[in-house]
Amino acid sequence: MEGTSEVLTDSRPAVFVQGAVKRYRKFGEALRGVNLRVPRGSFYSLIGSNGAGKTTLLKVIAGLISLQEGRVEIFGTTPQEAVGKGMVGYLPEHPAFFPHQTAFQQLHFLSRLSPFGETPEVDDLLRLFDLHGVRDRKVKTFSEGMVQRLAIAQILLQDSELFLFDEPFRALDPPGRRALKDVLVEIRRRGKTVIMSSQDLDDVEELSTHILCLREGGVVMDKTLAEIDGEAPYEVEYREGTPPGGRTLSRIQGQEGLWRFLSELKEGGGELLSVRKSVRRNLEDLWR
Amino acid sequence: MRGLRSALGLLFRELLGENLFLFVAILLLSLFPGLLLLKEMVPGGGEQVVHPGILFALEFVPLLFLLVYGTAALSRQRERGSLSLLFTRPLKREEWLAAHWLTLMGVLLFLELTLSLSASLFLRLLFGAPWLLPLGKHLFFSLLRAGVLTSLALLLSATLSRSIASTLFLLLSLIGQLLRSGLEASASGGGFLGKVVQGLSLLLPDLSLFDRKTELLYGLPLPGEIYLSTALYALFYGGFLFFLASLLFRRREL
Repeated sequence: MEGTSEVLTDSRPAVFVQGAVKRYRKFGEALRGVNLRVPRGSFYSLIGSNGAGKTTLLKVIAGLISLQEGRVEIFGTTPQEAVGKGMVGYLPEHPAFFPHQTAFQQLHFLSRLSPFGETPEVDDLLRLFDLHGVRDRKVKTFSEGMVQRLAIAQILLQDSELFLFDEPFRALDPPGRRALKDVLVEIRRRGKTVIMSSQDLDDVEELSTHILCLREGGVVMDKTLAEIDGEAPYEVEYREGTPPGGRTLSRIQGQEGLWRFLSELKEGGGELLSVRKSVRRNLEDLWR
Repeated sequence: MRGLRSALGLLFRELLGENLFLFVAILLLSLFPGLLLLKEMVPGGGEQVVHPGILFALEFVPLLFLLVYGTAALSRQRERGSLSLLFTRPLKREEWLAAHWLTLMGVLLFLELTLSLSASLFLRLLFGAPWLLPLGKHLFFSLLRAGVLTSLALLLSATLSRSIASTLFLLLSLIGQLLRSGLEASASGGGFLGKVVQGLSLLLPDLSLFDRKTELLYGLPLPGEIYLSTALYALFYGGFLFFLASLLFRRREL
């Protein structure tokens, strides 16, 4: 699959989480012994219902919050060290800037913090996210979608190895979504590691190499997209032969079952209308 | 250091953008008591060499400014969510804290200088008074006091919510200014409670050390040791508060 080529110079995973437990005084346990190994160059999507622990896990990896139990390693070092070396780019769920800075001033300030000598031109980034026309407007006048676009632009200011996106498609209009998808595909093409939380299963299916599903702070599934695809049921649309009927949709598990079903349908004089696999439906089932 | 320089520019712009009206209001408010009582002054001729209204104003400015902005500086950014974006960058939290300290002190220096110079100018123009040296001396003590208060405001702002930080700041400032002598007096009685109170009073900021109004008002001599000991106290106590703030801020979850 495209984008899964691993950087072989270092065998350590991009992210290694072992037995992560995080408790909040007010909300109880947000993570219950989460284990995670993210290979370099992979695109991991975190899915799960609200409050499942996705944002907490991303914050732990970004070094913004600490664990009560367990450990986290980013490229073999602590999250704080990795952040200090500019190896991590992070988009929070609700990004907030300094309201009295213009879009340009904000990105210019962040670009000056980059440990790398050269950073992409701020104006080019503003153009990429259709913000160049408002480069000298203060951020406090921006809509939620514009703030989100600016926040995505800032993540590209430094050439990080690991990108963390928390609900990146939130509040974006269709052109914004398209621009972000292009960016994500480009990041993946360059062999960088991405961990993204999202509620949008179409995006998840389109971009990911791995999917991790969380429920109440625990991992309920951690598989590659190929594995999920292999387990996904076939959706067969057909018309019964005897007695003649309308369109019917059945979900059939496994290739063997599909062949058996098709031969029975043929014997009964039925008509096959379509067969397709639905990873999406399989993922939706995990929500329940 | 690069982070600190970049942060300074951003914070100055942010502070001015957010508080320009407030600065003007503080200045006008501070000048008011001084100007109102200006006519009663006998500059250089009577017992008082400088009017107390101006000295009070110079003490009032940092307290009000830090109460409104200093205690909210980091807590507001944390509550708003700006710090999550910032600290996933190669920016040390101590640098961010130091940038805040320098920015707040820079603004306070500007406000106090403006206030002192305008007061001196008024007195000279209206009464032909000589340029008043006591104001300069008072400015020295006032800025040392502001340094300690800035560290205190940042310590509270780094760890607590805005409302709690500002309430505690006001309380500790008042204790430091007014109640310290009372605490010490109650502690001098001895006993366990007295010792506890005495220990606590050592931890609390002693702002009375910076209060040299009486000496300055009546032109009494101030020995060099007073300047030195007050500066050393401000350096060590302010430094201790700043160290504590950076220690707690480094561990603060965002």
